[in-house]
Amino acid sequence: MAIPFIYSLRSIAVRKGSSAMAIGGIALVVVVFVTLLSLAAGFQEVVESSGSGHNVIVVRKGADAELQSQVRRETGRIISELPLVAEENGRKLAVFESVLIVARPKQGGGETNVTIRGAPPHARDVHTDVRLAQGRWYTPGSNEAVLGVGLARRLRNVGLGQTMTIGRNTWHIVGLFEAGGSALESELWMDGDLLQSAFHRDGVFQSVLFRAAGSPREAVEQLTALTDSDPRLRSVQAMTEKEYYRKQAKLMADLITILGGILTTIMSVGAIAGATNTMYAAVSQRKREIGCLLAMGFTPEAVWLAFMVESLLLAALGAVLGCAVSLVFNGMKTGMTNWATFSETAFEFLVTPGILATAALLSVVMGFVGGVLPAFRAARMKVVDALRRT
Amino acid sequence: MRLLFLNLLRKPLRTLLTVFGVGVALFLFCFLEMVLASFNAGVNMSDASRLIVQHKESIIFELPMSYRLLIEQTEGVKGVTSASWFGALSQEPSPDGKKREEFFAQFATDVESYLPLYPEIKIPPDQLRDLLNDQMGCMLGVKIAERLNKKIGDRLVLRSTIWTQQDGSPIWEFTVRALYTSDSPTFDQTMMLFHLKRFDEARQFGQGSVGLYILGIADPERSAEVSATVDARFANSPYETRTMTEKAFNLQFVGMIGNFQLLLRSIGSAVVLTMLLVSANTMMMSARERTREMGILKAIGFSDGHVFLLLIGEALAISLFGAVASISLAWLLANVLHYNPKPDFFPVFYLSNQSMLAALGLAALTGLLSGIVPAIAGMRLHATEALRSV
Repeated sequence: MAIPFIYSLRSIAVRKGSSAMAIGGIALVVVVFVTLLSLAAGFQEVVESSGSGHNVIVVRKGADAELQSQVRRETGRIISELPLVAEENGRKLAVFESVLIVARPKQGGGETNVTIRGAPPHARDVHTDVRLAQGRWYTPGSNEAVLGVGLARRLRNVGLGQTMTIGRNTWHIVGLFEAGGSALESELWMDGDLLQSAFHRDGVFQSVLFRAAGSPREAVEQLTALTDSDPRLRSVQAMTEKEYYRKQAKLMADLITILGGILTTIMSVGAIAGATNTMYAAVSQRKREIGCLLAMGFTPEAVWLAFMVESLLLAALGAVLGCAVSLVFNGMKTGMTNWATFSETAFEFLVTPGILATAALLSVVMGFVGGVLPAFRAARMKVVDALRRT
Repeated sequence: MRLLFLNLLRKPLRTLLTVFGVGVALFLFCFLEMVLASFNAGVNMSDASRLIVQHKESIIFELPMSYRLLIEQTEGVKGVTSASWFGALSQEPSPDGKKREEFFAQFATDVESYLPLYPEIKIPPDQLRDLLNDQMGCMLGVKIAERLNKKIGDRLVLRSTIWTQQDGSPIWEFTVRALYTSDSPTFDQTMMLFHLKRFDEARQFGQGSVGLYILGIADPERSAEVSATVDARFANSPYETRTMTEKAFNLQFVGMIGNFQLLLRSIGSAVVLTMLLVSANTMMMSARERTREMGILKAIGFSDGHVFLLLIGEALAISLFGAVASISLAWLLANVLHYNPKPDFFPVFYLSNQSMLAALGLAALTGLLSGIVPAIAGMRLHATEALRSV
């Protein structure tokens, strides 16, 4: 017969101090694990959601990011006239974009690199997620710019109605834009032609972005075949916009995940030691109690199970506490340099159900490993020894 | 003294677990120190006698080669060299048929003027001669050579994400002519240097420009003055400059990762502190359990001071055992196994002597703190009280 569940539950409540310690230890591991993984997840989500499912991006062969790329105007023109580029109202949905970064003071001190994107006025037909949040869009050919809402939060002294001086040019910020929470919200947008002349980059763009007429994957395949055969297109490569941004998120997300993994491993070893200690103490304190249970006719297996349940309960409580605490971080705004674009990316901590589930699993494992040895000791006790007065 | 160890051995499992708990906490501490030190490695390897000149607006813009002569004439400057970021990935064929791409830092530079500014770099004279005689040659840090499995005379193929050759190909080939080492543990030994002349002649665009200039100055005290002179020299030219100390330059990159570093640091401190508290609590608990024993000791004539030292000694022994074990493990990991969680992100990953001392100090503090409460209680204890049955 099994020992009632309530026995294990009460036992935890009786020894408040040491139970709290074990629960706290496990909760701490859970909090760290969830925080670091939600940081990585939030960053990845923001960067990856920058790519639209319909678009294809063309950059110079060998370049992993727009910043490193150069595409000449003629090349861009050839690509934009291909039939695989979608058309709307008689106009090809392709944009030539210039990208560069400049150093700017950031909120709370220090400097960060800011991505500036020079785009033609119809860029919003291709970047479909981009919409105006405040103010108005820039007028082509004028010294006006629009700022992503994420960046507005991260930079000092830059906002709607203010100006930004870069080199000998001054831009007026006339609007703020949103982009579905993606990394584009961490950019400053302005007229492409003007940007090119301001930075002596005439005739050279960083990328060509277009909406594919069919599936973007097929468009990439066709274009790749073309770049291999057509000498005019030999210097460029195409990938889907989704793929492009997925690659960009990888380095930083990997870094955080690896460090998070190592930290969590070390800490869970510590937490397991803590749980084992607590459970051993519980067993030795309750020697006589165990003796009584055994004398009453409960089998050693039942005693083992009761202690395992107790240990798993501790872990479960730790998991619940840890998850609850770390949920506070969910949605917290922060920013980090994306190493691939070398510029500031604003994002939010993102606690996903997957992360919480993994954390819960982790604590169950900790509870199991921590409880298994002490539970064996309890089950192996002899009634006479256990009941003897010390 | 013998009594102290016998006491520790009385409950070997608990002692072991507590030592283990302290050990895990301190190991975590050492590991975090290593990670944080690696984030800051660039700053630690800076030298006050070196200044960096970059484009005023952004590091992505290049400076004309003609500046070198002008900078050389500045008063207080004893040496000038340049460096151009190559931004390439290695192209090693891996067994599964795909290419293994490894990231590391490469610079095109004038080796003859570069080396005098970096006395940290140690290179055998015959290798240096071979390097200078071979325009297609390059020199590698021993650590990156080891990672890429390259020896002197080997061919090294890289794909640059920024630079293409005249024919538009991003693939560049080099011959390894020299390997450098460094006595300083903080100096980056994963760099690659190659000839600016070859780079400039072979590249498709950007001829006649360099990424940044590095100046050696005679008197580090005058760095601000020299910087101002250089910047004033190029003010109002199409390529304005921004000159700063090497440290300030490297701090830019550290600042970018800022938030993550802060997060890691706060998580780390909280966790280490909590784990140490938990261990301290366990130690105190075990001391409290032995009130009667202390009474016996006193009854048979041990002085107050003896009992005090005994209890403190026990706590200290536990935490120092943990410290020694964990610090040696961390040391082994860093210095013997050369462990690096992400070699492409951390060029330098090491455990500093200060960190080891700090860990030791932390252990001693934990031991003292957790020992002092029961030790004072033990000292004040009257034999009669302690022996009274509870």
